[in-house]
Amino acid sequence: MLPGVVGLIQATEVIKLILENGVPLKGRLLLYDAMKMNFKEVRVRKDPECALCGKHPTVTELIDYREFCDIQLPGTAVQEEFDEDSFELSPLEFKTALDQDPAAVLVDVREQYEWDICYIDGARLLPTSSFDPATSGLDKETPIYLYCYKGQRSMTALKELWNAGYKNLKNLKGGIDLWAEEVDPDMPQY
Amino acid sequence: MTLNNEEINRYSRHLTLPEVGMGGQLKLKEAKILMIGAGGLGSPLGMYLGAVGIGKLGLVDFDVVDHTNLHRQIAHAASDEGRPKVHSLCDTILAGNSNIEVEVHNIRLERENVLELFGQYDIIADGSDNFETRYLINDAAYFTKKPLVSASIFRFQGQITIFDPESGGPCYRCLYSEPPPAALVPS
Amino acid sequence: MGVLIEIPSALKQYVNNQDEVEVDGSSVEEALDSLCTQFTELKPNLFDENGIVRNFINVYLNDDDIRYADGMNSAVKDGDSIQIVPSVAGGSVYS
Repeated sequence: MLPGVVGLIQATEVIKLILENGVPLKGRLLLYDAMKMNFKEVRVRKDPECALCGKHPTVTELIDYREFCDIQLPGTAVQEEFDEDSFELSPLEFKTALDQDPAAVLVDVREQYEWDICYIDGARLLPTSSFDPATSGLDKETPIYLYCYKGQRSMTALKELWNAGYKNLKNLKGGIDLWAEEVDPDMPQY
Repeated sequence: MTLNNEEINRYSRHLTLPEVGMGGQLKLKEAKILMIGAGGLGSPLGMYLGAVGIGKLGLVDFDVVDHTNLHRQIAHAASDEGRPKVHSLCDTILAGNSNIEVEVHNIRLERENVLELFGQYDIIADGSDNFETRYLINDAAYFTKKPLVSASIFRFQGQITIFDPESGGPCYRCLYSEPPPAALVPS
Repeated sequence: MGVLIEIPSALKQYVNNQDEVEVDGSSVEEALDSLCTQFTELKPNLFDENGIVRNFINVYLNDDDIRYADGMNSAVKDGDSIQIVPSVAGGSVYS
C-alpha cells in the first residue's frame, strides 16, 4: 500500500510540473509515515559544495556508479584474507553434514518476523539485529551451522564468531530460500 | 496539437477545471515523461499518468513480474508472472487509455544509454530501487537539464521531492552526498 | 519536557523499536550524544569513526537541515524536535 500513496504523490508532482501550476515540491522533502499516518516536510537546500551542481564540481561527467556506491565500512576491508568459500555448504551438503553431526547447533540469524514465516527444524533463533558472540550462549567447541534468508547475513555472523574464537563453523549457501528449493519443497518461499 | 472528440469527452472533467482546461490538457498531451521502475511506485505512477493523458510515457525496467510482486505492484496481474514488467505495465496503461503512446525500454539503465534516453523526454520520474541507479539518474538528469521527480520508500516510510538544479534547486547529491556503505544498508 | 528525536524506520531496531525518543541537551550534539548513550548500538550507525554524522544521514532541527545552521552546535531548547532522515532507495534489500 505504501508505494501506492507515494507513487500517486509523485504522479501529482509530475502533472503540476507539466501544467506549471501550483507549488511544486522543489526544495522540500516530503516524508510520509504510514504507521503514524503523517506527512512531514523538511527543507532541502542547494549545497554550494555539491560535487555535481556546486560551485566547484568534481563530477563533470557520468562516473562508475557501481564503484561510487561500493563503500566499505572502515574495518571491514581487513577481512580480505577470509576465505568465505571454505565455510559454505550447498543445501544438500548442509543437510547431510547436519544429519551426521548430532552435536551440531543450528543457528538461524534472521529476524523474528522471518522466523514466523518458516524455519528449519531444530534451529535456534539469534537475530543479527542483536547478535553478539559474547552473549550468544554458543559453545566454542560445538560445531555451529548458520543460515539466514540468502546466506549473506549468516556469513557476517560467521565472521563475527570466527573473530571471537569460534572455529567450527558452517554457512548455508543460498540461505533458507535455496534450502526450500533444493531440500524442502514443502517450505514456503518469501 | 488538438484533442479529438473522444479525447474531449474522456478528459471533460479536466477540461472544466480552470486549473487544467483545454490549455492544460494539451500540455499533458504534448508532455513526454520517462519513468524509471515499473514496480511498486511505477505501477500507480504509470497508471495515473496514462489515464490523465500524458502524450508519451517511457517505461524503463529490466525485471520480470514475480509472484512476490503482486501484493503491491498493482499494474501486474497474476497472469503476468514471468513477463517483463515494462510490457505488463504498458498493457495495463493502454487498456485504460489507448490514446497515449507508451515506449517500453526493457533494459537496465547504464551510463552508456542514459543520456540519449533522457534527451528524448521532458521530465524524469525516479521510482528505482537501488542507490547506484539513483545517483546515475540524478547525474544524468543534471547533465541533460531535466527536472527529476524522485520518490523512494523503505518499509512504512516514503520520501518524495523534486530535484531541478536548472531552476536553481538542489539535486540528489545536495541532499545525500553519498550512499550508505553496503554493510549499513538496512535490511 | 525535553527535545524530541524522531527515529526513522531504518534505525528503529537500535532504539527498542521506538518512533521517537525524548532526551535532554542544549545543542544538537548533546541531544544526539544523550541518545547514543542510552542506545549504544545506534552510535556507529549514526556517526562515522571521527564522530561526524554519516553522509547518507541528514539531521533536521525543526524541519531545517543543521548543515545550514550551526551544525552539531546548533542550539536546541525544550520542545524542539530533531528529525533523523537517512537516504533510502526503495525496493527489497534482504540478503
